[in-house]
Amino acid sequence: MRKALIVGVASVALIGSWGTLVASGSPPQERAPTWTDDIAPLMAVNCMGCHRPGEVSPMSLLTYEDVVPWARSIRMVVSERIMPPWHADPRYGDFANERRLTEKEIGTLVDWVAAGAPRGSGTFTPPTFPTGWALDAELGPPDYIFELEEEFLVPAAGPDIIHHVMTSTTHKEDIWIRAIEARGNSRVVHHINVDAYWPDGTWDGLALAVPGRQPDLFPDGSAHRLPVGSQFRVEMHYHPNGEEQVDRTKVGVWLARTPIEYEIRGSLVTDQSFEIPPYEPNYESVAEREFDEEVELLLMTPHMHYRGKDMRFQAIHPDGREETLLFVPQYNMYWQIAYVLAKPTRLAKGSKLRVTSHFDNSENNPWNPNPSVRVIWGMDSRDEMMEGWIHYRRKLAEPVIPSYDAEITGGSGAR
Amino acid sequence: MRISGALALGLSVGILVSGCSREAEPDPVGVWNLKFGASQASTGRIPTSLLRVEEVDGELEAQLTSIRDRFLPVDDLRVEGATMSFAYGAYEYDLEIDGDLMTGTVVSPRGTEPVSGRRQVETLMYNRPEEFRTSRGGVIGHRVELAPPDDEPDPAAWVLSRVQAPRDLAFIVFLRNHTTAVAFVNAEDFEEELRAHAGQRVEITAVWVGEELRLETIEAAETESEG
Repeated sequence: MRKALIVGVASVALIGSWGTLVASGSPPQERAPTWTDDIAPLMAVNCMGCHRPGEVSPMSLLTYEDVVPWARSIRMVVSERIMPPWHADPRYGDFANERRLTEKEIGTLVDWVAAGAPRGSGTFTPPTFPTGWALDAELGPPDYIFELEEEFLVPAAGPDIIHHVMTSTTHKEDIWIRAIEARGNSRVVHHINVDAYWPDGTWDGLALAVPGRQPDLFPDGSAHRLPVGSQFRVEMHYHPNGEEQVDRTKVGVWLARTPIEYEIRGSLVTDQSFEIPPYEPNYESVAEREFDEEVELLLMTPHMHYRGKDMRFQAIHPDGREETLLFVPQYNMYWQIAYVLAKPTRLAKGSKLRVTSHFDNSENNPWNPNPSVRVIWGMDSRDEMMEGWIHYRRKLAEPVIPSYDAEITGGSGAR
Repeated sequence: MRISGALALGLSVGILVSGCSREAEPDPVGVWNLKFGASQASTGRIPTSLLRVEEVDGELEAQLTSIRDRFLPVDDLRVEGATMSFAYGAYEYDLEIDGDLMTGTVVSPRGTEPVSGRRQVETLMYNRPEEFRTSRGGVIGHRVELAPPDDEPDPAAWVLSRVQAPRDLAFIVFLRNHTTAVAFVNAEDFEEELRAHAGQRVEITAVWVGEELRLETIEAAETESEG
């Protein structure tokens, strides 16, 4: 135990030293930053999407009056890069949804707090956030809405709950999905998975909704195919928060209306063979997937449980060249972040996607529910998973011109 | 008593070294599992947090786990007798230590919340390793030779012919591309049931004990299980 504590102190010392560098690294400014000129615009982009009434975040940060009482906490979590939550090693990848603050931005926030959080002389009007579907303004109402038939009661306390609903679809022709958005009670919904099961058993991961993540709007000309006879599977992962909550998750689906050149598939690279010994601090698990056709990778999401430490996604190109696409050095189970590539990454036929992860089943892992047991794959968060979720797209031999004549309705559980 | 030198060090994030001389009793050193009042939890905050207090070179340091994240140092750590106080961002903690328990309040812009804490003993997260009861599907097979092949006409005989002692009867788990055996620590207690289900798919409830399972219930699986 003593050794564990010493290791912990060393980690904190490194974090603290780094934080000090950040704090002192901002260039001297002629004037102190102010809320209206510097801080509010920064927080509008990076914070307010989640920190507003009705969202998962514990406090609203829309106005000066909201923010000032929390100034010291904001300084702490921003300096330590705990907020905004973004865990990718910046040395790898270029991501469209990156939420990583620059050191200059962090310095601005730190300087503002140090200066006494001045308001400034201007005015700031918080941005307007949609109250319904986020994509409504851009795409109009969804073509298809799946909604739980009944409210699901999430108790005040207890372990996480995984609730899934299967529903058949009744459309008479293949449909193509351009965008998908899942909405639930953000106070208790940890994440929502939306999957399609094709009649031939093929699984296609459609969407993952997590707090603070934008809905899935796929690149122009790209869409998920949903063959006739497919089933939807919606999985809600609830995290009790101290008081009873009800959830009635709904999923909106927008259909592609323009020619489709690429078919998107959601898949995963997984190792389910691991057996992590008791007290093992750095167990390695590796999985690979080879592509038998050229594809373009769109996004990556690491998924592990309490013992997950890190995960690396590497492309192994046909010429043997290895390229790290994403590295998450400090995995945090509570944030299921999808890392959306700014530009799709081409993987030639014969390429492999290798996912390498490490697990800490030791007492030094403060979140380890039980270091004394062997750990194997399982759905329970006290078991483990090693999954690299991906979206990729493949070019169709011929573009598809979608046309939908039949009414598209769901079966049980959908409307 | 001395007060944290964090500000003197000019650290904007927090302190690494908090200086306090410490009374012999009560002892704040250790890892404490803190639980917060219901109203705080209802805001979405994870309702537990870990407080780690250490003595380094005769002085006390403390770190607290941040929201769903790692340990960060506290500011303004003060310990006087049984009372301990510190700041953590915009949160101000006042705690009273009573043996292996602590109670107190945390004041934040949201108001005042009750806090209670328990000293950890064996692991950081829990006072004791949490008993991990699991329900799983699998096959009763042999701990070394695993399960009978799919085309085996008499799976029970296949297993039982290989069993020399109750501990040979094991729970066979089929993972995606891997099959593994998990022994039962109490196989002798369930020998009759295990033999009756040899070679069959079963559903069990059990508690993990190290690398083995302590069997609690066993019944034939109603449908095919993925294990």
